[in-house]
Amino acid sequence: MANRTVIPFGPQHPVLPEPIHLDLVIEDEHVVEAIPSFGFIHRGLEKLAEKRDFTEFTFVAERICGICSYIHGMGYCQAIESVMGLEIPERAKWLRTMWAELSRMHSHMMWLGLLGDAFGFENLFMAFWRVREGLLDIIEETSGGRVIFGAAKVGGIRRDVPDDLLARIPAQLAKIEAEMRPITDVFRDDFSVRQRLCGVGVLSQKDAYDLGAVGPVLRGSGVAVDTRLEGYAAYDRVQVEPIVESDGDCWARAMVRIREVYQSFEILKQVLPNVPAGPVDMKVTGAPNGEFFARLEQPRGEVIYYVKGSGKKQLDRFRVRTPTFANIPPLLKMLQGCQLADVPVIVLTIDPCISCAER
Amino acid sequence: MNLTHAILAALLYIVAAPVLAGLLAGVDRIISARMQARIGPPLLQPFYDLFKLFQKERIAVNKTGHFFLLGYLLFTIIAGVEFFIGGDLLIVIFALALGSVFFVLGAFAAGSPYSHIGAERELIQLMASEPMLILSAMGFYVATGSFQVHDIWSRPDLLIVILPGMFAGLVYVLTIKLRKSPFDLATSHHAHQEIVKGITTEFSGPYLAVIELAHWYETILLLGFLYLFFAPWPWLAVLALAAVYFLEILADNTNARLYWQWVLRSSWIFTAVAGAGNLVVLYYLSRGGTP
Amino acid sequence: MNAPVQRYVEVQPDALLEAVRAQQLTGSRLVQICCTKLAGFELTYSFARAGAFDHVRVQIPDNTVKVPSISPIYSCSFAYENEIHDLFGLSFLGLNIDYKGTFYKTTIPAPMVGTPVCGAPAPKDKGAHGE
Repeated sequence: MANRTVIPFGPQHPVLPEPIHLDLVIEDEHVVEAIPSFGFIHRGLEKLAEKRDFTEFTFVAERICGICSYIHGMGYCQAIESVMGLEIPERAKWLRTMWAELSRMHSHMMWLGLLGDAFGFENLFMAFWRVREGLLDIIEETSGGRVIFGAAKVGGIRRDVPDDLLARIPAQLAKIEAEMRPITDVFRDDFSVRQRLCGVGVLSQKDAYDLGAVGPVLRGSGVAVDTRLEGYAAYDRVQVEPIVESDGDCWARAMVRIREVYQSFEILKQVLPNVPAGPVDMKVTGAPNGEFFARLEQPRGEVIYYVKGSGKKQLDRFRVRTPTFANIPPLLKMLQGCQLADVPVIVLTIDPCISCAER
Repeated sequence: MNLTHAILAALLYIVAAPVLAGLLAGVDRIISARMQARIGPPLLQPFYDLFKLFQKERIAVNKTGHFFLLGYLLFTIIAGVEFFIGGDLLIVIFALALGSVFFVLGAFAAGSPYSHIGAERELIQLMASEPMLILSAMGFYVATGSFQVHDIWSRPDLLIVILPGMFAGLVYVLTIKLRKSPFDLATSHHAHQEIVKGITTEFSGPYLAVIELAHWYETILLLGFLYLFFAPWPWLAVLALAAVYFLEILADNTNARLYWQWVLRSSWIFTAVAGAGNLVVLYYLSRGGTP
Repeated sequence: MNAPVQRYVEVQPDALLEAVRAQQLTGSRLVQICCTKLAGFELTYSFARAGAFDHVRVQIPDNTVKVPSISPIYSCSFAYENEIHDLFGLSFLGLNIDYKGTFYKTTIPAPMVGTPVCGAPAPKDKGAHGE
């Protein structure tokens, strides 16, 4: 009988991108149990909504997360617009869709690089992050920012994108897609990568659904749920199919994300030529009175924004349930019985964004 | 080899090995960087790092660990000196193993679970690599009739011709010894690993520098081992060593880190097939040659 | 937009589990639990399945009232319920994993300082441990 050791994993650990603490109870190199604890970066953002003007709060919402920033801002605006009954201009809807897909792609590519780093494949990390730069360049050209680009506002978007610029983007995207193919092929085919990912951290379809997993974790386990199908922004006019893999292991989750990046290229091919002419924002008067739950698809999965206002400039309650928070219970399930060497890989496959989760 | 020569060779090894290995590490980092489409650090960066480590504050988790580290450095140097003065191959191998065991004990002296797991993995890596080293000594003996390095390198014939399996096995084991992916289990060249820096987690400053230095001595010694296969043709030997080192860098950049079970299994299988297979063939041939 | 219409079902605290079980029987997954501080506390449990997005709502007058935990039905609810406990001070009855107020706070104020891990020698300063 091997003796049990408790390994304190995090909150400061080089392989973890964000501060989560796991007490790993291990026997030799087998993880018997993982007990998480949080609270290292709780910022009280939900409370802040009660002190800020509701239009101003968009900037705070964008800073909930550093990587999926844009969709946070967009989701918040969407929730407010639903409460106030605003129908934003068409052009703004299409441009929001474009930025949402661009941020999904750069988030997934960052994650793929980080995963490579977690299993000791530094070259993959460098390759993915290098290609990702091209996407950030496109975001910078269109919005002025690279990662937190503040393009969303209540009632539309903050700045218009010139049509000649929109016409240039497809060529840039085609170049990035061509650069990406050989790198994702390594993920698909490399022997050592498959050794580290296949059959690791398996989450069954039933467990994934029952434990409330969202996003690529849920789809990697064979459940076809994608909030984009609900058709917010311009998603009701582009073709989106949920990307599903059935194995439920780390490899399936990686494959879901890889295929989603390629799907985003396809979605952008539909979006870019179809952006209609017209205004990009509308005048917002009054204040939100009522409540609404908005659901969007973040790169990390389904995200929920709840706003409740009572006709004042400040909201009564703002709540965001981020995908990472929903993916914590499935993560604990996956960690049981894995090897110590798999812990960083499994933790990464939920694409943890702890600062999102704690807000 | 007379005494003066021996002392000169020993001194040369002690002085030149770190310089050579440091330069090699610099080249390694530049080539790795180029493979990842980066520019990489200057050639002399490993030396800058080493000197900076020596200047850092001495903080000890457990002083016993530092004593063991000196043992690691000392026995690695002894192994290298024994090799380069043309001494006994078996002493070289066992002194080298003893040095590694001191390193493991040093890591066990600290209380950190990261360092403990790193040390356990280092022991496993020793188990994976030692059989091949010992087999290669036997191979040299069967081929040359002597365990003395001096006798082996003054042979006029190319040993690679009759010991290709041994050479391949040693190259395989070299990946473990150089801590390259897929075999960088106990500690890797950067800390993005589940056990942080594994076996070296609890050492800092000058002690980390001692580990690096010992690792450099070890690298040159292992390359010396491979040199024996090409001893009569030095230029071919340098070319072969460069090719081997390049292969190691290539493997490092095209592989993920694997599990210890896989490392142990694969290296034993490789040892059995390439090393022992070569030995069997050699026996058969030598029986046939001199009945 | 083909987003489903959101339905709100208002229930009494003692009928909560029943309403939640009814959701489970329809094959919904738990999407979130939201607590809003009004005069008392308003808890909103959201459930989703294909083509539906429902909210079960319960009003809790003050934080002396214990709320039944839905973790026997949806085991993943422990994360939400522990969070609400830590941020709003509500307590839940029958939680499957109860952090007892340490979901956001660490159990001991400064963990990993001087705690013997894996057979390390205990710190020499015995006084610090208050014996």
